[in-house]
Amino acid sequence: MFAILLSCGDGNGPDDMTGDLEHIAYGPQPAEYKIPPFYPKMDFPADNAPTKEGIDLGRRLFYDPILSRDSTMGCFSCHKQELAFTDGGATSIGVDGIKGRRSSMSLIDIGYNYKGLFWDGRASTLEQQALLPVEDPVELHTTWPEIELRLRRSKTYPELFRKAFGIKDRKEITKALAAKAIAQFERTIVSSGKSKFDLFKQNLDFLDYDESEGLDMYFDKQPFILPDAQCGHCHNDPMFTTNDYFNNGISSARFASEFIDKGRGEFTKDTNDIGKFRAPSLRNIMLTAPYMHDGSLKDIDAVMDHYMSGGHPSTRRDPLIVQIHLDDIQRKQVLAFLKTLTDEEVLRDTTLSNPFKR
Amino acid sequence: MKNLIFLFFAVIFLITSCKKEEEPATADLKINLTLTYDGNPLVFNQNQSYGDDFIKMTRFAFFLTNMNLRQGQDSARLVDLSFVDFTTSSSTLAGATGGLVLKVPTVKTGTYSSIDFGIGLPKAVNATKPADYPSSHPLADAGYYWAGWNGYIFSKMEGKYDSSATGDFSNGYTFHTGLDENYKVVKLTSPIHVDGNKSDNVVHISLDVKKLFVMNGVQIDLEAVNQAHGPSNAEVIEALTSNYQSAFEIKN
Repeated sequence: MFAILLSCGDGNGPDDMTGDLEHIAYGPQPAEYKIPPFYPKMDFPADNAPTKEGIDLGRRLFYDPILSRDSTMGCFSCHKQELAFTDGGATSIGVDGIKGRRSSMSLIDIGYNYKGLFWDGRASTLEQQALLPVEDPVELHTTWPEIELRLRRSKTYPELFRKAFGIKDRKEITKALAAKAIAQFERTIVSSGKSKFDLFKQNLDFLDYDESEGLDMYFDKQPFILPDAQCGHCHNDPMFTTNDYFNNGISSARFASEFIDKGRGEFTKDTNDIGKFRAPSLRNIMLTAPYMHDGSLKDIDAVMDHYMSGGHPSTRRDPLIVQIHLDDIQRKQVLAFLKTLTDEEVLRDTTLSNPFKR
Repeated sequence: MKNLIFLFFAVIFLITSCKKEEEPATADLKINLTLTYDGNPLVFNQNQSYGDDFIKMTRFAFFLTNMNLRQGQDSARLVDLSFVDFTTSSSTLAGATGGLVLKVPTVKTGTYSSIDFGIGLPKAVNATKPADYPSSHPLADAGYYWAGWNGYIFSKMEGKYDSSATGDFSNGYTFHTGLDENYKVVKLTSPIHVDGNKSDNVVHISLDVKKLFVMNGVQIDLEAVNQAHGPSNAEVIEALTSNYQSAFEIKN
């Protein structure tokens, strides 16, 4: 009886399907990542060149709750397009209702980060990164063997994997291919180049006086006239991040043992990296509150207060973090400039939206 | 028939007697770069005496360009452009002692009398921008392009200082160099042998940071000058970059 039950799948089980996809045509169409004209050409791993089929599959996987233990969450849960691919929470909550310890990072321009992903840089490529949330107990909390089984049993995915990667049967669906597809899609999440600042840069729009003054302080373009807001060191144009790791004085910890979250040091095991976190992009900064790795600053004013104060002084605080002397008007002007970094186009881009909600 | 046989052997003779012009002998060369402080390996995040005070280095990186070996009119190009970052390698004594190694293949063998190289970017390269390069290229790194200059940051020197000798390193220094006029070519004179019979030809070059932090003949007062990355501190950048020639040394 057991043998009979076990042999009854959905009629589409993975175990007896050798070569079951070979009848489906495989002819992937090469794709190019669309980027603003002032961005570097995006490199990608030689073994994961973008194709229309790979990107489509990745987009579907990104938005499909099939990747979570109870099929309620997916990548999209912590990376919402309307919030510049963050989730609006101080820290993210996983399928078990457990709060993670870190805030969701924006995915816009993520394909340009080759200095490590996550706040601590523990994944070196998007292909590696995409594997981790699935098994993280405070995120999707399942296992890849389970997900592979679900994908192989699906009525849709085997064909999509075939078209994207040329697999011959559904048993060849692996976590590595799923991660490749997700990475291909994530590399399409690129700024449109049409924020107000971007249009100004291309001589296609004006900044008003306050925005212009704010820009000059942000990049210290008038050092003899305006104060240096010191932003550009870690949040430089065009991505508005250097993707480097800093202790920005957000923690009051003075010694390595005092850090609740050891940040990059937890991954590198270098005590000098304890308390360092990756500088996120300031593009769309007005949409990504609360701020900092732990979501401890609830709004942009709190962020300005933090940086103007220079943060908590300590030996570990980065040398770039210093007190910033702006008066009330100058502070408002820097904020006015930051608002010009909002990219409405990328928030509305239908090629990045949830394909299940057409 | 005899003529044909003669012609056949004549062609064979001509073919076998044609030798290719001999390729010059070459060997691989390693450039070993180390960062020192007062002659000792500089370990980042560790105290270094600075007059009556102490400093710690946390970051030191620069663009190395146009490196050549010279002997009279003869020269061998070693490096066009390389990004040199000591931040990770100098985090331990072993790493700081070993330094960084650039491997240069197929260098013409011989004895050279000097080596020269640029710190920073020549004018034409400095006129480019990150968008001109693929994203993984060092010149695509936004962290080394300064919009205020419309050019690249040639080098970054960052760290902390304790001006009260109390162990309080809360304050930092950040010196970022750039601008065309601060691209400096360093020439170091010393016999350098590239020997085809040796498996390991190495040129050891050290850079002593203590010699860099000097302006107008005296050690830079970090309490007074602790940030330079633009025209308002142009004299500091000029002083730092002018010191490269004396701070670099061949240690072979």
